[in-house]
Amino acid sequence: MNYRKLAIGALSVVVGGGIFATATMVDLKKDPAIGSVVEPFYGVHQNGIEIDRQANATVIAFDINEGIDSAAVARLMRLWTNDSAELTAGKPIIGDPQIEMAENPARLTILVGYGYSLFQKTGIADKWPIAEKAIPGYQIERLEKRWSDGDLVVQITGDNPQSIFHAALVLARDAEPFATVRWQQRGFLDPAGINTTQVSRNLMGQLDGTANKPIATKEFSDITWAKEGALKDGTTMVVRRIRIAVKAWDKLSTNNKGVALGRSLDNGAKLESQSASSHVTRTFTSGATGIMRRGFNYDDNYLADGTRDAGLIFISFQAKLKNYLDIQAKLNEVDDLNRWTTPVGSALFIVPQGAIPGSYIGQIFFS
Amino acid sequence: MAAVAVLALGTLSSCGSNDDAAKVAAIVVENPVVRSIDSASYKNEKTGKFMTGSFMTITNNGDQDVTLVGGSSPIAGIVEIHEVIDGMMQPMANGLVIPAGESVKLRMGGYHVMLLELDGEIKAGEETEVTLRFSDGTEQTITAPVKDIAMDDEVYGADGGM
Repeated sequence: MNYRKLAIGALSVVVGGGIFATATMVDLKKDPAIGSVVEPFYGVHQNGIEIDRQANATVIAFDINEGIDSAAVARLMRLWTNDSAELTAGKPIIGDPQIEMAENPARLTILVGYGYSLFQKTGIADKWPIAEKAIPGYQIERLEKRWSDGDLVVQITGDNPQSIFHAALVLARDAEPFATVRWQQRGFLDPAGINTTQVSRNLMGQLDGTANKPIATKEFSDITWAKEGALKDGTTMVVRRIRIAVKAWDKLSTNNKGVALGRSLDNGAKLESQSASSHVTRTFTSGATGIMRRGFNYDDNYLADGTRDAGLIFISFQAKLKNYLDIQAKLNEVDDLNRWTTPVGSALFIVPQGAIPGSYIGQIFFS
Repeated sequence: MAAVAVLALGTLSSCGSNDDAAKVAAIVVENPVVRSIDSASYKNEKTGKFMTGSFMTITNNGDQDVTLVGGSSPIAGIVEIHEVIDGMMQPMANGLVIPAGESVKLRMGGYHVMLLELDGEIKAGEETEVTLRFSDGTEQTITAPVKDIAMDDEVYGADGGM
């Protein structure tokens, strides 16, 4: 895709500039290339999954309002499709009182997914395209309703938190007659320009996403995209909020951190003698049994008991939800990292195929 | 874009040279919206009727200027093309020219399609049809979502600007 090449080109320019700057002086000049890079919205797949690493994410779950039927959901999908096509192109939507906020999309992407509860409430449960309706409960969880489930989900990702904020505002505004925000989570990784690789460190200092298949490969497609049925060219989406005991983890030696993970902390290399209970050993998959991971770190306010509410917004996409469930079941049994991590939110969505001009997201289900 | 409507201009395709269809001019209407009306919206006290605006982007892909002269809608008794000058809205007697090869934005505080003499409220979340009429005699009908839109930079006239 031309856009993708443009994005990669833009990022390499920034790296060059950065190296030069450190050798001489701090240079705060604006790099117009980052802000103006546009990701395609229309396509076979919804964008925001098979894409080079983006730095920021806002994920919002909505519940539909009383009396909203399948035809009303279709109207909302038409609105969101139009809005998303404009916003991701860096254009203000018609009627937006804050048009300047749409500038600098910086690889903004918006994708929409549905929970089983949406199909149930709108009387189309028979159209739900996968066998699983929810993620089963696990002993290691301490789930909170305020971070779990939802009828609709919107994942807004990009390299500019400002354009992400604005997109979230516009989409929630246009959703008002149809749906109410249930939860919102914001996550971050290294900003564009200071990290041009596909992996970033989580708040435990571990390199995250090293097992992902490269985008635009058959391996990526096999793991990620559904190949048949109503979900064809779509996927399943798991969103888990994993709270990390950052204070306790911080007191652990570098060596012991590596043992729990099963990889060296500094470069992510596998340890020669990996413990059978280490995270990496427990999550290892081969062939097309894997998942596509897209995690974002979060760092929110302190909780009432003084705990820092920080951790990982774990997002995974997989053609077969079973691939995720198998991994999760193993982690529930044994994982050295469980001592420092607690899932506090959990949600399952399906992500329908992308839209083409003239169609809208989810048309196959709600038309 | 669900609401994009493409209209081949019959006059250009049916007369003149029999060139291939690629030369046929087309008016494209994108992202239309209609502003919602609630009980707090302007109501003409004499007639008891409501009014509102519709906004969109109109692109003229042809090689001749086309003028948007008026329209109709199942929800409105009258549809007019308006502009806002010094904060005051007024009808455009000669219509709105969409120059050849250009896009014109119809937006709050600027050019817009005015829907007049509405019997009742229309609410955000609904959709409504608006038919646009052009100077060459062609029409096209778009389906526009109804949205709540902030609009504080234009003033309706004392009698509703009509």
